[in-house]
Amino acid sequence: MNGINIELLNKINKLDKVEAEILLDLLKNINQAKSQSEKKEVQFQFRKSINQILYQQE
Amino acid sequence: MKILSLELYNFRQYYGKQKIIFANQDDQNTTIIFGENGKGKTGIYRALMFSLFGTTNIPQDNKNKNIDLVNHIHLEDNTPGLAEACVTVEFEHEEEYYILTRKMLGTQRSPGNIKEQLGDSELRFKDTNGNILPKVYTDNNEIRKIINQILDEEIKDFFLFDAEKIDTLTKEDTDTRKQVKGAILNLLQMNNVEDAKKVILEEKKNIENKLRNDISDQELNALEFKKTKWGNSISEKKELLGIYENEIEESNKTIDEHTLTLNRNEKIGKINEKIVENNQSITDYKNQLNKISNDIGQIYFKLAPYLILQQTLGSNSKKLRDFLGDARINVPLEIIEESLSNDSCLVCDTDLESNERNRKFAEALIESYSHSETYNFAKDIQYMYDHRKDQFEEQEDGLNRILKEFISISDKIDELLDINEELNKQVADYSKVDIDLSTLKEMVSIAEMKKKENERKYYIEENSIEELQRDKTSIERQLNEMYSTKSRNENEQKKFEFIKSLEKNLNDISTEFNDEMKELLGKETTEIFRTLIDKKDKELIGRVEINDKFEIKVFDNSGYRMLSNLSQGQSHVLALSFISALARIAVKEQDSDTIDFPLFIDSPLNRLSGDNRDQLIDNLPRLTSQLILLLTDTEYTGTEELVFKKNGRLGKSYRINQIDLKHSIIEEVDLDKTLATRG
Repeated sequence: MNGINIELLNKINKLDKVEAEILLDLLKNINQAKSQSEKKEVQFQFRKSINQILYQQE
Repeated sequence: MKILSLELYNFRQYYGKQKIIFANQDDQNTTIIFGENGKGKTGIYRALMFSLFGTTNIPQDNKNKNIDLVNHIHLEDNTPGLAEACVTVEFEHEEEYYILTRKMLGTQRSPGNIKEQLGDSELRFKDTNGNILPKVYTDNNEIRKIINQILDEEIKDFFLFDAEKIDTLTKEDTDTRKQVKGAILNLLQMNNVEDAKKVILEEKKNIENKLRNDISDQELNALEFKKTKWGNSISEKKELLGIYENEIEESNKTIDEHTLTLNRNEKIGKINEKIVENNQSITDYKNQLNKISNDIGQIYFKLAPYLILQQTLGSNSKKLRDFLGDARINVPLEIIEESLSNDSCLVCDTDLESNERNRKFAEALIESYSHSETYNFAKDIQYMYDHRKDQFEEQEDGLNRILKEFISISDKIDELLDINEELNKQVADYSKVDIDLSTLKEMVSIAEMKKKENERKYYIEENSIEELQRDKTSIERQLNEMYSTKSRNENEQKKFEFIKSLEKNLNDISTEFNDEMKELLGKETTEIFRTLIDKKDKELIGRVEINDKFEIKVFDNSGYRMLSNLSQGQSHVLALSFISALARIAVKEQDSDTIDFPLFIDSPLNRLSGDNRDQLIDNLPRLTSQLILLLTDTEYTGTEELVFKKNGRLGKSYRINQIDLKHSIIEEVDLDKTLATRG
């Protein structure tokens, strides 16, 4: 229940590894966020993850 | 997840401490909690909801009625001080053991004046040996987060529910559509995918802003302006679609409601016609009866002497025969006398002069011949009876036939009178609503016109949205191209490329996932329905489909829609199948056919026929890892108990005993003892 739906997970895992990781993180965070402030935090975390990944790629 | 136990302390009607330990073995996974209506079954459902989620209300509560959770005797014991109710649920999930306790505090200032407020909550953990671990949570938000990770409260109603309410899922109205859509989106995490799209889009906009500042191109600005404008138009038009949809639904409601009343009135007309028709038949039958009565009179008049004779002779025939004795001689006396005077038998030519023995026999015959008038009369009567017996019987049969016909027509008249009485009652019921039919017909035709007009507008806006969407996509493509090529900010460009790809991939996944889930849900519902429904109805449903508007559509084997043709019991099984299918798909983490979560169902059998009950009892425990059922005496009778015990899945059974309205106790009943109170 707390994980990602298996069918959805299978589809995401077929993507490029970096994209898959980012999407899975995003979905997990969305799943956990209930309050408005937690939802804002999701946006912030997502931005941070993208910056981080692209920085690492450089 | 498996619920291990539930302990109630002064909660609702459970005064003092009560504990239920639930069956949780793989083979014996079913717990039954049995109690007549009003004894406290819902109190247990409420206790579980309160302990797991801290909710003080359940879906079936009347919103205008306040529900006190603290036991009233306990409140009175503590008046005017503080009284405490407490529920502890123990459960296991992925090899972790949880003990969650929630309290409710109440005070009673004066009789009936009760104030309640939530008390402390505490979440603890146990190891596999049953030792309490030091880790403890008391913050409600933290506890909520942990519980939501296990069983999200937004979807809890699909695992812990009142079966009496689930039929709404198979009804075709707007509210139901929203419920079904919400359930699917929630359970299958489609809403999370939609939220993810929004997050990505927001980030994309953010990057676009940065890139735009860097580019400062007029064409780009114009395109952005157009894109925003198109986007706004699409949103406005989508809002319009929603309005038209609601208007259409309103028209549908008006049409349905008034058509129902009109049909009822049409029904009254038809019923009255039937009553008149029946009255005519009754008059015809009565005329027939009169004629038959006359016939019977005439026949009796004609046959009476014969019937009396037949009756008298029939009963005296033996006596008559005895009276006539063995000497019943058929040769007339005159012939014997003439034979003797001629010395020769007139019958057989025997010479009576030479044949002394024969002559003496003839003389003896004369001697023994009774010359009384009675003898001859008796002989004549006997003769007549023997020869006319068949004729008498034939006449009697005829009379019996006509009497039977008389009775049959009388019965028909009685039957028609009964039918008319019932029809008159129906007319009285239907006539309770006083309505002007012509106004209703007018309202229906106005609603139909309005519906057509709104459908036309809906169609136009839908096409317009499609067109705008196409334009917008083309603009976005141009913009994407510009953002990718014209900016010198490499870093943001990289991010832009990445997010574009992410957006496209997630859109593709989302479309594919939504379609697959809807198809899978339809398939699973059909399959579970066939498992749960009685054998004779197995082929009733060809397939269940969840369409693009998230409506449940049921088709027969010839492809015709048939939701409205299902009986109440069949709809109930369909709703249960739909919920089980949703639950199965939602928690599916590997290739398993069972739901790895408890199904806690209040009154699952109430609306089902006997055969459907048997089928459900046999198969529901196989669908899920744990089944907890709250059953009333009318749904759990001796028959159901036999089926439960025969399938071997029953692990625990409890009976709720009511001491008085404020005090119920929960008693465990051994599996080899009888729980049901009705045969």
